[in-house]
Amino acid sequence: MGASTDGTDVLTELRTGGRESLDRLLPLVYQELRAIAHRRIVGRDRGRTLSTTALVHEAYLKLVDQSRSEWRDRAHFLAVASLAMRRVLVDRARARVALKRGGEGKRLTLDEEEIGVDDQPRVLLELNESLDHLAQVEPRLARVVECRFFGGLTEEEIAEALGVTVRTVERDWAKARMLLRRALSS
Amino acid sequence: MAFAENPVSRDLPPNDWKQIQELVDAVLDAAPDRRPDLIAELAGDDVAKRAELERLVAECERAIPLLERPAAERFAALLQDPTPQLPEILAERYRLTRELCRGGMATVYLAQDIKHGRMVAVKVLRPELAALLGTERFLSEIRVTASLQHPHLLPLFDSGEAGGMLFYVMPYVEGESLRERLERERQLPLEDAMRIAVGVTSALDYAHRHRVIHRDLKPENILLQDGEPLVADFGIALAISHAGGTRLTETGLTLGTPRYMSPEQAAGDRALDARSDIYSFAAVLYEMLAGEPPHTGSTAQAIIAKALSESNQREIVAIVFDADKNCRAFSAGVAVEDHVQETIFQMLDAFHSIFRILEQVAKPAIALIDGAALGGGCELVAACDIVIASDRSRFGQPEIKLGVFPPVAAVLLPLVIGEKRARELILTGEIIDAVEAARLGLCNHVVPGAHLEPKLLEVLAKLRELSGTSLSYARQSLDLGRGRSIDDALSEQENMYLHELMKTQDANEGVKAFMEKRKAIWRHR
Repeated sequence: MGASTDGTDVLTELRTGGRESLDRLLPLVYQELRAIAHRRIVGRDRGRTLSTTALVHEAYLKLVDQSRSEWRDRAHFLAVASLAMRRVLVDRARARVALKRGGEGKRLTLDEEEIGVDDQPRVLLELNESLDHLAQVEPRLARVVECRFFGGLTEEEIAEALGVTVRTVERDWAKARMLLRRALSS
Repeated sequence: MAFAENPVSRDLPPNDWKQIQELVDAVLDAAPDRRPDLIAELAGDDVAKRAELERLVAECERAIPLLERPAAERFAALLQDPTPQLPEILAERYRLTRELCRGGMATVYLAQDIKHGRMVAVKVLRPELAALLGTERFLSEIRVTASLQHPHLLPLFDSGEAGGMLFYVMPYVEGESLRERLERERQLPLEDAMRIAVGVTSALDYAHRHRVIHRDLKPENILLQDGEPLVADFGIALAISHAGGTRLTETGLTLGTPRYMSPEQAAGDRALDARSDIYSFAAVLYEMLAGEPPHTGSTAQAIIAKALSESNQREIVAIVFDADKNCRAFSAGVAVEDHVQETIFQMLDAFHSIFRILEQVAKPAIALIDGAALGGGCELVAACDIVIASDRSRFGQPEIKLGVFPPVAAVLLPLVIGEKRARELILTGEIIDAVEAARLGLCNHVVPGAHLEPKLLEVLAKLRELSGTSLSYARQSLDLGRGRSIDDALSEQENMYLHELMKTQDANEGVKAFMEKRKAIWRHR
């Protein structure tokens, strides 16, 4: 793992949107999540439902073990892990879509719970795009969605990671739902 | 960021979002049953404002089913397979339909040949392997294969390098491989076996006359189309071994007891000729008729021992015990039926010589496990320097169930996994999985089956950077640190094993019961 935090509070940077520390930590978490996700599915847990939270927590335990100083804050890690999880999924979806060029994909609808295996890449990419769009308008709302949906974080964890109150997280989630729906129906 | 400045054309928030957001926040902060009253209060007489507020709050309250469960569950399929990747250039010529299979060395895709409008199988070698092979040599070797034309040979349509990956293209055969058929039927009717044999021999004869040998003939490489055999990957194994030949041998000597490999090939002899293919063909024919491949038995151990003792003279950095599921190297100890023709002295001597030589060898020994490493196999694992296991592997010392005990494990296992656990494994014959074995320190890496070879290449690449001489001294020092040589310990134990245990009724009954596939009846004497 990289250099120590040298007094810089990475969490504060994360809160204030500082990209540098995030970019430094993200590859580690990303790699770890990929490895864990892969091992889980290929390994003995095949067929079992994947829980993001479990993945993220496993990555946390592993990385905490490697460097106690870096992840001084669990919430900080969880937020980084959420972003990493989003990137893992987006990378994979892009690779799949590239593989199936020309094929017609299904459009994203927010009301479906089960997305067919073949539709998952396109649906995820569309969702990712709407989140990017949301982030341009309301960055914090997008981050709340990222933490909750991609990271499987609880409202308390999100509040801690983003340095806001739980009530704000609840409100942000509600508003994000409205804005995402609008983004997609337009 | 103000909404009006948003350059994206999509109309995300409502137009007066900046003004109305505060009101929405206030409503959302209230308990759901208080919200209608609050909206009325906040909007006052402004009917339009009230309507908009009601609409926005309702939209905020409306759940999004897609987002109600975490992404890893909703998009589980995306996390599931390793990402399929195909170089751009290849994608212009072939449209991939699906992945047919993924092995340690290559991934095979079913694809449409866009130019010719036909279905083909595109085999893409793993990047690690491609890097090791070197493009030029691989392509020039494979050109030889492309010149072969025979009704029982699967032709090569295309080959090349794209984005750092080596690939080759063959016709897609609808049907199954001989392996699949054997797995289903075990034994083939004489007529069918002969039909396949005649086809394969004519293909071999043709290729041999053109000075091309297959080098990797096995049921997996014989495809069946309407009962007629098509030999696939002809010369590919040769191209791979030639192209990477020198470098692969520099890197590692792979040992094992592959069922279809000729003894000279298994011993790492690189100057192979057509006779090696004929040996493999005979083993395949035997399996079609007998329902199981011929036993290699002690021959395999002799091959391993010979190759091991020569390894110090060879320009290699490591010894690799490669145990795929068709390989018996790691079940040598329990495959008692291999040794029925021998005396117990011969059997034990052949087997233990592997461990004695392994101790003298100057190169690190790496074990690759994909399946059961039981008995002698587990002992071999304990004796190797680095162990890479697939997640489906199992380990254990079931000898006690045969009324005997594992002499090497009795020496090594307590040192490797700890006294108590070793005693428990040896005394109960318990079988453990790869995860438990890794936890105990019996294996270094547990990876999915398809990642075994890449992991091996990774480890070999690390070793290749190091000084062979230093490695040899480091290895000796580690053995010294153990305090006692395997050779010494075995000499003492063999005495007890041969002169006491093997004279008891129970030990003989145990081995006999195992071979007769029944439960042993112990008389406790």
